[in-house]
Amino acid sequence: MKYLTGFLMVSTLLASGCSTMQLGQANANLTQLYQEKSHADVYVQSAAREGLSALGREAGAAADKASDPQNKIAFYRIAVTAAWQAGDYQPINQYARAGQALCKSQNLDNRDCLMLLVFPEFAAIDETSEELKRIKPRCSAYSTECLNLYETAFNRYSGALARLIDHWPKVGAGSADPLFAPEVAKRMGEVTCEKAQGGIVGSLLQWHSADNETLRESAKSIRSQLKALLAQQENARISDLAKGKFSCRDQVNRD
Amino acid sequence: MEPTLIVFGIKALVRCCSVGQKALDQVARDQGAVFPELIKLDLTKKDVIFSIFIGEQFTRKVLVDNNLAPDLLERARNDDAAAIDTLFLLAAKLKAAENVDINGWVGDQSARAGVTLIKQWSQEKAPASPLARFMLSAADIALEYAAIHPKLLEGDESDKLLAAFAGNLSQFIDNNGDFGKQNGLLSRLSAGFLRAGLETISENPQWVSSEKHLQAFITSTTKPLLAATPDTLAENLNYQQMLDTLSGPVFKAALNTIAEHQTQFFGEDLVTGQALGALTQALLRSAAKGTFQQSLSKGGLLTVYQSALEVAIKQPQLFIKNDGSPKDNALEQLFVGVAETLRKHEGTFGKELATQLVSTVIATAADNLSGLAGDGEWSKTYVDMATTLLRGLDNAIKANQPLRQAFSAQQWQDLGRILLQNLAQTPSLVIGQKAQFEGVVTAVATAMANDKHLLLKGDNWVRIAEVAAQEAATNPGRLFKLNADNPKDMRAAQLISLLINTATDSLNAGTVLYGETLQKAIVIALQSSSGNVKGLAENLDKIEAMVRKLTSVVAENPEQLGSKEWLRTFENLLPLILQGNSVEPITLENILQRLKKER
Repeated sequence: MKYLTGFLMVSTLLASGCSTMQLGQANANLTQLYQEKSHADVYVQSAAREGLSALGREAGAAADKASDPQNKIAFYRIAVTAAWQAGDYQPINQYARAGQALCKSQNLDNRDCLMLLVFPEFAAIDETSEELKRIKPRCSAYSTECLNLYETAFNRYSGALARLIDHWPKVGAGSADPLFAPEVAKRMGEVTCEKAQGGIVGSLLQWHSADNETLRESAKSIRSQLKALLAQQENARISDLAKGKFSCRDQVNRD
Repeated sequence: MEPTLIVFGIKALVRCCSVGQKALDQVARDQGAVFPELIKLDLTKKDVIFSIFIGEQFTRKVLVDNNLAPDLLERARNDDAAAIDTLFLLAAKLKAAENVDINGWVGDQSARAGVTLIKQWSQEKAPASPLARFMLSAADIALEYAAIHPKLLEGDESDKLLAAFAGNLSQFIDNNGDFGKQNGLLSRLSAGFLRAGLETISENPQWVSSEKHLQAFITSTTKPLLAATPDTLAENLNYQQMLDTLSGPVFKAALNTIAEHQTQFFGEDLVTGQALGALTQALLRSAAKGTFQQSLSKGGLLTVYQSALEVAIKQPQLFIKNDGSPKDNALEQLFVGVAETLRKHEGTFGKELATQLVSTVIATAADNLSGLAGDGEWSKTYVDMATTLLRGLDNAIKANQPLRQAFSAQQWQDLGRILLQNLAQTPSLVIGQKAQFEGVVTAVATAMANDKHLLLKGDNWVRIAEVAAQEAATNPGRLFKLNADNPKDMRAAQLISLLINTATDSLNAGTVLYGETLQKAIVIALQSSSGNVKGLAENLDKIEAMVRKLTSVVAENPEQLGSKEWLRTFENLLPLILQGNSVEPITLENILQRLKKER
């Protein structure tokens, strides 16, 4: 029986196998494709987007199949990031929810878990930015339709910012790399100032309009909401970490 | 040098591989992860200035303060490029005073400074590093080895090994002080220790074992590992390469060595080797077909496999035909039957215990049923016995739920093994129409179901089962004869239940009839009545009356009578009643007198 035990062990090992480094490879691919996405050559960019889209799907499937909860979470993080960067916004929340449920059951608050918490919001912000870039060429002048489109975009930005502010206590107290929270704060500042203040308020106020009253009221309302969000971010000390990205305090607060 | 080295070596490799895989997973998970930048909005200078020059008063004041025309903003609205440039410069100047650079808002939108990579953990909250985990396991394995081979730490062998180890380690460390970068030095040092150890054992297997085939085994398994470790301290250990080596070349080398030295490892019995092959193939085929799906864990599969291996070793003829080809059907029948039995009873016992019980039956049958069941029938017999045992015990637990926890896993297995072992000494008692196995299982299970107050513990029941099986083997077809219409209508079950019921009824009256005393009483009852079932059937009421009276007299006179007196009186009176004799009334005086005479 002594020999048989040995054989059993070998059989177990051969049956289970030492799996390949799939997770590490997926993460390395994500980093590379992300870099290629900002390449000067549009063909490289396009190929990178396609690669990210495929990676998102594969990582999502790998997460479903993986048995180790922490590996599953890591795969979901890769799936969320890749789908976000590919512009495949639809499955992001599904991956993120599955990953977050595991984080909760495993009582984890590491980088992967925190990314699963905040990345869907940043993805929603990017989706809104893409929409804004699409509408900008046909909204160089005032129209009720364009005003509505910009107001909708602002609501999406402010909704995502409000949720990020809610998540902030977890981000601040988590176990991730200390670089993580400042990076989140920096992007929140970017959304508040460059996108909401610069991209939306700046666009509205440059329009010629016969209906000045409506336009001014809209801009005033947006600035008032922005002011409230800015105050919340200052109270939560998010802006302190943002490396100067909350660069619109004076403008938002100015009457 | 004991041959356990092989088992130890393979176990150690499996552990290394498992821990290494976990460490590798951790390395992969903890790689830096991209934190993407947000999409830029492609803001124009015009967007920026209209988001900064807000408020008429403020704008007018700024323009005046900077000697600029008051209509500049309006001109910018009308796309006057000069006005836009002027206002953007002014805005940039204003924001620069606040330490804010707004040029980034309108800069080259496709340019990205670099990739932001975030680590998994902050330093203070990070778990033990993958390397630490791997090395701790390696150290643990080394300590285990030292525990198995204590002489390694004392006599000449240890001196030689230590000297060789130190020499190899010294070679690894560069004399010119080239230790590579500070970062990762600990990791590289650890790799050095690993390499030095492997090198020492690989070069000097004779210090570990004097047997040639074991030396070949050691050399062949350590050499591939050695090749995967770095030569110098300046190089990093490649985990992936180590793991690939462990799972690939090392195991290949190990199996090749065993194959080359088959006779030394397995002896001359090549038939056994063929049987092992047939068994493994059948198991893998059944697993591939999904036979064990849901009813067996991976550990459970190995438990069944292990017990079946014992059968293959002891009775290889059950697995292979005369021409050496495998008896596939019988083996698959065994696995299908096992899976079915487990499916039926795992709800009561849990997967693990159910698997252990089935394996116990298979292993015990293999020990005791040599040569009786051939050509496929054997696997059906084994499965039937396992089913009978699990069904009987399952019924007992369902009727008396606390029983499940009153037995340890080992006691459940002992119970099954002992029942089968004692009967299988006479194979016709477990196979065929006159089989007693089901009857004994039913009797014991029925009695167990009646023991609602758990007066008997697991060990007590194991002893009772042993005697019941021995008596069934000695006097078959009597005490344990099963009534197909009413399985509970069996003499043995009635007798044991009678004692348990009396004990239960007298529980609050100071009875001595529980635990070991009750167990001994049941043993006496079974041994006394197994040869006289007619007397038992005719005098069951009298026996019950005697037991109840004896129990109450002993309980009422604790200063003079105890468990010993109860048992001796019972042992004296029972045969008399079974023979139809009348006995004197059971009083304190009569009991004392009878015991005095006995002395």
